Amino acid sequence: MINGYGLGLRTDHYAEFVEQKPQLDWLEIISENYLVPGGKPLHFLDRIRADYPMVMHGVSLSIGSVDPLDFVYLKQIKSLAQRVEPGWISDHLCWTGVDHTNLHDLLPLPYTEETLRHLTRRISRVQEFLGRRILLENVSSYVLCAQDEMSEWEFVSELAARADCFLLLDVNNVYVSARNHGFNPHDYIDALPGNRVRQIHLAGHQDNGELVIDTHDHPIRDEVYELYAHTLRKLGPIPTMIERDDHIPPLQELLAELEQVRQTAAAAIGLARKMEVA
Amino acid sequence: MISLADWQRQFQQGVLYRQPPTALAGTATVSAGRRFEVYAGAYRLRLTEALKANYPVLHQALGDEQFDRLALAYLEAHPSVSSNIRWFGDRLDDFVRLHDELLSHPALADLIRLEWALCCAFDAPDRKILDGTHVAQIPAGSWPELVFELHPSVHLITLHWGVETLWHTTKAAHEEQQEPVPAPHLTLVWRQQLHTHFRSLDNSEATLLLELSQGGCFARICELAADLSHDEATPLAVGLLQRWLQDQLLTGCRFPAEGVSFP
Ligand SMILES: [Fe+2]
Repeated sequence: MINGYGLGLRTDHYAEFVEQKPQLDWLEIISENYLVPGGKPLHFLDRIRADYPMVMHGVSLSIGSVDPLDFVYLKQIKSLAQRVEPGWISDHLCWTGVDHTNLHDLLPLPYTEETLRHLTRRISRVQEFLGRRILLENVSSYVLCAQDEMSEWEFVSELAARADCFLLLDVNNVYVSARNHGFNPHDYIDALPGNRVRQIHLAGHQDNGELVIDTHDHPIRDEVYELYAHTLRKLGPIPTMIERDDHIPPLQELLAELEQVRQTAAAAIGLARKMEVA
Repeated sequence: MISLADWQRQFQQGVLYRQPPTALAGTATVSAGRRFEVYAGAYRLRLTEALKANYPVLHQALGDEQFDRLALAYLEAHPSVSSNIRWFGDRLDDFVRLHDELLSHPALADLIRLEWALCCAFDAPDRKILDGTHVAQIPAGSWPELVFELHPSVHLITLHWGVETLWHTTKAAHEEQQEPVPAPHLTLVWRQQLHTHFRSLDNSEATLLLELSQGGCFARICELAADLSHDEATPLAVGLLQRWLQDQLLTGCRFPAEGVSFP
């Protein structure tokens, strides 16, 4: 059972997790880092898993691609899940390449009926194959397709219902995309089906003024804390973690940042309860 | 109306060739072209970083500017086709053979081979290790037939330059780099528990370990040892076998005729 507050497991912190076992509710692993035959990654994975609950987060499912689903990859994910026994498995609402090329990026999809149908079919096949429902995460984007038929939040909500999947809400990505495309991030949050949002990502970004870039190399910014508080007031408590992928600070710093997340959440949920009572 | 397939093909071509596709929505403040450039730029940066992660010493030896030039040329010739970015750079060895102008010294081609072997040894499959106690149990009469199995992390690579020194001095960021000298030899790369190692082999060890890696039985290894050192053949073969056991290169042995395996 995954509850409370977590961090992404990064190689820089392996030794500390093994030796000091800091207090933490759960860890998220990048699945691909452990889709290797043996050696250090799997050694530390097993040792750290013995002490912490984990969830698996992938970057290569490419659920939106028009290429056939990669069942070699899915088999690897399935066997890693047997090893890790994760609380859940997630990936991104995007595509990563086409014609067997992999750009290793989380690329934007047109928000159209055609994409909805394509994704619904593929999510069902993946969920059937893995024998469980998956979580899909909203990605940050810098361009939109000129022929979008609906907003991103309409698209995401409709997809979750049709495909019967869960959502991983990246609050930072909502903020980044809202700034880049000029929408109100509250419109996005308020439209989401609360019962389907099972996990939240928080991260830092780089504000270049006209364009905001999702870099995961800074602490969480105040604007994102505010949007996070708004999210919890709307949706109630949801397991939350910090994603840090670059300029990775000492673990203690991330744990302190996570404490700030916890306090933000406690204040937001407390306030929401008071408002309900009133 | 653009189809999903066309959107993806145009977008991908756009990233690969740095040409924004037509079906993008821009805004008054930021053009579609500038928005698209975020993806095109990030792609080159990310894959260059991935190549650096697999070839850290080559990166140090070449410096940022030259390494980036090599990375971008490689990326253009071999975009990633793997679901795991960890394997990006698997064809760099072949690529530089055709493009030696991208390397400041021909010995760096050997450095590429060495770093890729280290990279493969790092997360090669785990196996139980054959140790001295297992070997002590083998009946004396079975020895000639005995065939040893190497750990899957073991790589024997042919190098033309003495790049091992270059590897160490670059890694230690020594000011004074000695020019690598031409020296054709075989280098052993492997993982012992969690740590990767390499060492260059002298002619005797290279000959015997190569034979072992190709499935040659112990009698054949002793024959080769006799060719190398007529009087000291047995100490040579036994001494090397002990060293390989110590280095944890061996995972098992079997007697093909009887179909029996150890351990
Ligand atoms: Fe995220």
